[in-house]
Order: sequence, then structure tokens, then C-alpha cells
Amino acid sequence: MKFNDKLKFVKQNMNKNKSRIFMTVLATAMGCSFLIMIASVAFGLQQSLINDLLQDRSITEIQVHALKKGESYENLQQSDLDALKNVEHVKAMSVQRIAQGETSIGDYVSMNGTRAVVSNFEQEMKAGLELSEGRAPANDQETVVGYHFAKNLAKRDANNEILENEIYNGNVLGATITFKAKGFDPETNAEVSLGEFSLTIVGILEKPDREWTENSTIYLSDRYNEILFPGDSLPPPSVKLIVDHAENVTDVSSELRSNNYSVYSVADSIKEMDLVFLVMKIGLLFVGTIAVLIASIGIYNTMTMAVTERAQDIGIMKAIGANPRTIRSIFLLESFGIGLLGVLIGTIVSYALSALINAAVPPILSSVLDGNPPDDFMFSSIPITLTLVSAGISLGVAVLSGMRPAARATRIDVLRALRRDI
Amino acid sequence: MIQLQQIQHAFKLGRKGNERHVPVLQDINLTVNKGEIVTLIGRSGSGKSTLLHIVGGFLRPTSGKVHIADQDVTAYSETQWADFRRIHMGVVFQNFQLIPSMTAYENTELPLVLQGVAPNERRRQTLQLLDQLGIASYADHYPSELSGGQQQRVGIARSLILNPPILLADEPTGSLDSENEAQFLELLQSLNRERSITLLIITHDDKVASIGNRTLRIEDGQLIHPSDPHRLEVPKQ
Repeated sequence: MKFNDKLKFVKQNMNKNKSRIFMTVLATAMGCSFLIMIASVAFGLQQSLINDLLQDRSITEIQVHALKKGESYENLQQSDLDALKNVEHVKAMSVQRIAQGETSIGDYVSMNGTRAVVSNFEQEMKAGLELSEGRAPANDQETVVGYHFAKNLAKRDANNEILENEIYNGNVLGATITFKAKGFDPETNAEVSLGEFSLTIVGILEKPDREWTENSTIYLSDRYNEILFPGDSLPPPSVKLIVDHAENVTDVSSELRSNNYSVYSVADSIKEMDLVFLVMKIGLLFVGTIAVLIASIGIYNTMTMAVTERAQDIGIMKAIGANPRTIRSIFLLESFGIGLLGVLIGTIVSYALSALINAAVPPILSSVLDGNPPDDFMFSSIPITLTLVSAGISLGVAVLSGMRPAARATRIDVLRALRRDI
Repeated sequence: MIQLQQIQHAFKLGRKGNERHVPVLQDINLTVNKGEIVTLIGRSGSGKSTLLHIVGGFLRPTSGKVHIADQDVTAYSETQWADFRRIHMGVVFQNFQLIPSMTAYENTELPLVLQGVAPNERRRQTLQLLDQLGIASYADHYPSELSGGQQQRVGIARSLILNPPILLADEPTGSLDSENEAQFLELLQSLNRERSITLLIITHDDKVASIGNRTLRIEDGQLIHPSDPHRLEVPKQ
């Protein structure tokens, strides 16, 4: 018997008792939808946490803090930095030191001082430093500044008090700034001037991901290290390694740890988090599968009734040469059809519910909690893998629940069926 | 074409563990040749229908051998029987046994569907056969909309659609009036003449039995062969 003819049979059979089939499909759709929705909460929360972790950070980033020697941790030395740069899969290395000072453009002076990041421009750009405007510095007389740099500049009155109404409102790109570097005398602990540098702003950094973060930093070439950190005052660097591919981050981290470096990467955190969420997802899928199993009782009942009602038809078909396999496949196809309709409806409903929940939950949380949830907060997320797994479970359970009635159909005795004894 | 050797059959009756075996057929030996019409007569409960069910593969004999179309089908599984029956034999039932939710056309077409014949070819063959049997105009009618004679013709059409060499008929005129019965018997004879179909007909009706080249009587589960194969021996009721 051809597949199309079996489908035609199934369609005819399903049309014979539409209301019963509808209720069974509805139960299957509800089971499938429950399965998807309950697991989607784990996916949504995981995605929200990952988004939060990745703000202002890259998945390929590894922070190296110190080197363990014996029982203690020591600051990284130049020889360590050279070694780190040559680790396999390391694409770039950002080595930053922080200097303090004051910046001015004409009469406008930085209100709260200026934080200067001293680093290698070429490595910073390779490490993913992104500009909203302009270009990377080409020499040590050029600089890039944070997105909110201009907002930190204001005029001062004769008493050196800040005039808060006189904020710099021009475009700083192309402007020449004066950076007065400051340091502390280690002996007297008094503030000392380390020099004054004229720099041209050639680029402005991207706006920070977190809305509450303001970036007024300026970037200086690492050629200023000797001036800004004279003698033995060179502070420990903040070191970030950028790995060529996300899948190599764990390997590089492991290698560094085995070489006694103290490291942290977002990927490691995400991996640990993934494990927790994997257990959570499996648990929720298990709970959701119970709903599908309950729905399968409906399918079993519907199919059993269908077999009983069609016993005479089955007997006639067997009498004229219908193979038991054909009979079984028709009934299995019918339970698969019920499952498929349930899955389709359940999936569509789940996506709609998920969108509704994601739209409704943040305002509810805002009204209940003091603060706002993060911008990208998702309470429910339905990745395609969840849809496929749920559809697979629902369809599998639907077919399984149709197997016993289908087997019963093949065992129908022809003579009893023809005598209307069944 | 059909050969039964030492067929015995007994039904198990009663509750499990307390069953008793009731013998229905004893030492049946029967050969039906190709193109022959054999009618089998007997009282109600004599075992004639059981014999037909064994030939049709609906019952497995307690002992003995069944050969049909040169194949030993005695130990065939249900699946093997289904395929064998579809290809080698058509079955006509007393109560027509049409599927009520299918039209005359769909009932007739069903064996072709089970055989996996392409839709266009199915349509051609079905309409041609319905036309030959004079019921083409009722193709779209459901069984409940047909007379007994028309329903039996649909049943015949369904059993012949795959051109089987053997036709088994179990009390085929039991639900027909005398006029339809006569037409039906004429149809069976013409099918035998034109298609050389081998016919094994179970009946208790003299008129039906009269169309057989041979008529055999079954009594208390035993086959009684008449001394003159062309003489009809009908037991007195």
C-alpha cells in the first residue's frame, strides 16, 4: 500500500470523529506547549545571565592576574608578558597600566581628574577596542578617548571651582588636549607632577554597554610608561589575552593554569554555568515530559476506541488481503498525525506565550522590585534545539502510545470481526 | 488448484483450563481442479463454512495439509496468508461485508490500493469492472444506498478486481431475493466461463449447488463424495 493511500485512510478515519480527535490534539498541544514553556525558562535565564556576563567583555578574553610561585602570587614581569604573548592561539595581548592626571581643552578642565590607560595601541585594536568615531592613534602624540570624555570637561571660576553650567559641548574629535600627569612621591606621599603632554584626539570609543557606566578615560601609548611610572613605581599591569576562537579559550586557560598563572575567563564561567543549567534543563524537560505522558493517555484512549469502532472494517480489510503491517502502519500514522498536529499547535502557542511573557515580566518585576531588570532580560527563550527536542519527545510519545492499539488492530480475528462479534 | 489432505479441525470451547475440544472436520480430502466449480452443501453446523475458512486461510487446521496453487500454505503466517490471499483468491461473503463508510467505487478499489497500484490504473480497472458488472452508475453510492443484489455485485467486483484464479463464496445468495439470486448465479457461471476462475461455493441452497461441476456434501464434519460426480445429492432436511 502506498504512503499517500495510507495518508488518505488516516485522513478519512480522523474525519469520522472530529470532536474526539480535536480534544486529543488539544491535549497533546497542551502537553507539548507545557514541555517547551517550562524548559524555555531555563534557557531564558541562562541567556540573560550570559548576556550580562558578556557585557563589555568578549567570550575570547582571558584575564591573567598573577603568577603563582610557591604558595604566593607575584605580579607579572616583562618576561612573563613575553611568554604569554607567545602562547598558542593568543591573537592579541592587552597590557594596561593606569595613570592619573588632569586633562584640559582650552579653558575646559576635567572635573574629576582623568584616568589614563597606558597601553599598546596596536595590541588594543587587535584585542577589540572599538571606536564610535575616528581612527586608532598612529603615534604617541595621538590618543583616543572614552565616549563620555567631553561630558567630564567644564570651566572653572577664579577660585578654581567647577562651573557645572559650563560643560564642554563641542566635538572633541580632532581637538588637542593637555594631559597633566600626576603621581605620588613614595617618600613624602605628596602629589607630584610627572609632566605635561599635548595629545590630539583621533578617535572616540564606543558607548559602554551598561547604561550606568561612563567612560572618560584617555588612552596613552605605552611609550609613556617610563615618564608616568618613574623608577620602581611601575604598577602591576592588567593583562588580557585575546584568543583566536572561542572554542580554544578553555584549552588556553588550562595551559596557563598548568603554568601557574592565575586566570579568569568569561568562557570558564559560562562553561560552569552551562553545566548547572544543563542539569536544570534536563530536570525541567523531565517534568514537562510528564505532561506529554499524560496527554499520551488521551492518544492511547482515542486510538483504542478507533480500533474497537473499526474492528469490522479491519476484519474486512484483512479478509481481502490487507497485510497486518499495513493495518499497524495506518494506526501508527494516525497517532503520529495526532502527535504532529499537537506539536505544531503547541509550538506555535509556545512561541506566542514566550513573546508575551518576555514582554509582560520586566514591567511586573519593575513594579515589584525597586530597580529595573537588565535591558536584555529574557524570562523565556525557545532555541530551535528546544523546539526540536520537545517535538521529538512529543512525537515519540504519541507514536509509542499508538503502538499498543495498533498491535491490537493487527490481532483482530477476521471471522469474529465479520460476524460482528467484536 | 486446491488440495486438502487429511484435514481435521476441532474448536476449543469453554473456560481456559477447563476446555473441551469439539471436532468439526474429520479426515477431509478434497481436490478442486483449475477452472472447476465445486459446490459444497450441508446442514447448518455440518462444518462446511469451517472448511471454507481453512481454504481461505482464516482458520488453521488442527491437522492435515492445505495446498493451493501448488504451494503448501498449511503453516503460513497471517502476513503470508494476507499476501497470498490478495493475489490468489477472492472471497464473496453472505452479508457482502462492504465497508459502510466507503462508496461502491472505493470498496471495489480497495484490493488495488492494498496492492499498491497507481491511482490512474486503479481508476481505469475499477470503473471497467463496475461497468462489466452493470453497477458503474452506482459507483458513488454508499452500501446503505444499494439493494442487496447491487451490494453483492460490489462484493464480487471487489473480489475479482485483482483477477484472482480462485473465488471462494460463503453462502453468497443468502441475503438475496430469488431474482437477484438467479442473476448472481448467472454472473458466477459467466465469470467461470470467461476467466476460467476456480469456484468453491458453500451453500445450503439447491439452486446454487446446481451450478457446480461437482457437488459435495458435508455431514457431521465428514465429506461425502457422491458416486456420480455429476449427480446432485442433497440431503433431505
